[in-house]
Amino acid sequence: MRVDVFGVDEIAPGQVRRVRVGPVDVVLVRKHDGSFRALRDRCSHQGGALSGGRLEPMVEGDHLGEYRFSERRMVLRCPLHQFEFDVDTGRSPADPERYRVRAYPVTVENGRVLIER
Amino acid sequence: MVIGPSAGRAQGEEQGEQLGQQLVVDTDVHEYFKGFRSLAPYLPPVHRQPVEEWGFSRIDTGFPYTSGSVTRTWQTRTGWRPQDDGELGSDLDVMRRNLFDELGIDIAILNNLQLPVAFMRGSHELGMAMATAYNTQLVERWLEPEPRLRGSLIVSLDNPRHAVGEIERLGNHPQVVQVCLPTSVDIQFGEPRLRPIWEAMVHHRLTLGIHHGYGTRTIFGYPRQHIEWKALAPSHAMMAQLASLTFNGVFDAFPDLKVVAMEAGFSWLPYFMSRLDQQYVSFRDQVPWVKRRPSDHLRAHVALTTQPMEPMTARQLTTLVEDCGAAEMLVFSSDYPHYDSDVMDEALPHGIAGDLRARIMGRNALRAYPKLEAPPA
Repeated sequence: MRVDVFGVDEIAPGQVRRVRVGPVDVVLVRKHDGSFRALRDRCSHQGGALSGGRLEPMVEGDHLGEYRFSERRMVLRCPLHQFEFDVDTGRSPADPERYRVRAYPVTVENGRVLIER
Repeated sequence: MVIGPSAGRAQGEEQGEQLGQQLVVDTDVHEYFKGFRSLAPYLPPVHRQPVEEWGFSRIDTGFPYTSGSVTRTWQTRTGWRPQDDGELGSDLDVMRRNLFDELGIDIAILNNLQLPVAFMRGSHELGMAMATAYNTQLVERWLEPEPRLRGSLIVSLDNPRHAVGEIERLGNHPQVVQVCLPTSVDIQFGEPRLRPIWEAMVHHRLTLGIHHGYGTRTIFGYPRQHIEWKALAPSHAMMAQLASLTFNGVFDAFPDLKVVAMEAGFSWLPYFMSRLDQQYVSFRDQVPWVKRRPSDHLRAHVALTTQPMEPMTARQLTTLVEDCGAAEMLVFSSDYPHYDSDVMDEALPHGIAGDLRARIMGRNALRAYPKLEAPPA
């Protein structure tokens, strides 16, 4: 089932919105490259609403002291305990097996954002 | 008896599997040189004077207590005392009889506690010279006369280049398996300036041994009572150093580095692992160079010695190991010849599964020490 949630122009890149998809709360994010992602709006740790958190570029680094913002990957950070979730996968970069939220496919058709569940 | 640098670790592990329960490796035995004067022949002339004429006979760690383990260390089992009434653990023949004949240990790894050169606050050149002297006499007086012994190099952290030089000089000796450092020094082991030391150790397949000693501190430094220090300092300081190695990316930078945490207990391991993992999930972005969960790094890189072990039932030990996936992390140690040694049948609770016992008593050491090879059956 696909649910029409917004017009593309209603969400700017970098913004986060909470939407209802059937019985489920979903957090819709628009990445800086303009693409959309949708995750279940409930942190798998203690149930915090991810839509109340921050959308940030993922911090990466390969050597001690190296910090860089990822140009591709973004995380949604839960406001309760600051857990990160990769918006592409719904998984915590730190512990992807233990902490993950469901990711829903998102499509754009005729200027509308559709979430599939 | 020792595999060469070109042989892989998997070979040693496989042999350990074949030998099963027969293999016993004691990962923490203390040999003592007979006073600082006995090092004089190994010192260059310019550094002999402090030892031979000025009475330099100990390195001050700041240890403030006069009771407890300080005296009891020397009140050990009567059959372990040297024939000349000198320092415990200073007589190779007595050690041979105790460890290999009486206790049935196959391999014993020596860690010296008399010479914590990392604590020298001055005379660093003397400290480095003494480390060199110690390492040379370790090979000549202990390792070459007794093939069942393995040894640990001492290095000064004041000058990593000198430390690397010592590792290059003796790291290829087949019985040198480790570099041993005190747990508490004024340097965190995650500091980048130490990396050349870790790199040289990995190159020579040497394990990093971190050993508790008189210099170990708690968050208070030295608490008011010795019993407070004895109860808490070893584990507090060890956790701090293991966290420093983990979060400063040492395990990511050196995937083959092995660490043995000695004489600091291990029953804190479930708490420590879950605590580090918890913080990592929230604050991974502070240490993006850390690519695995801290607990996974610890399982891959770290072993912990058994002595001194709190009273524990077989069920408690088994549950602890299962809860944190530590079946390969514990290695038997006696702490010979100290008063609180745990030897052989006394070391582990009765009733634990044979496989777990075999791992702890010997097989896990083959994993923790890449240069170790099980002796022929």
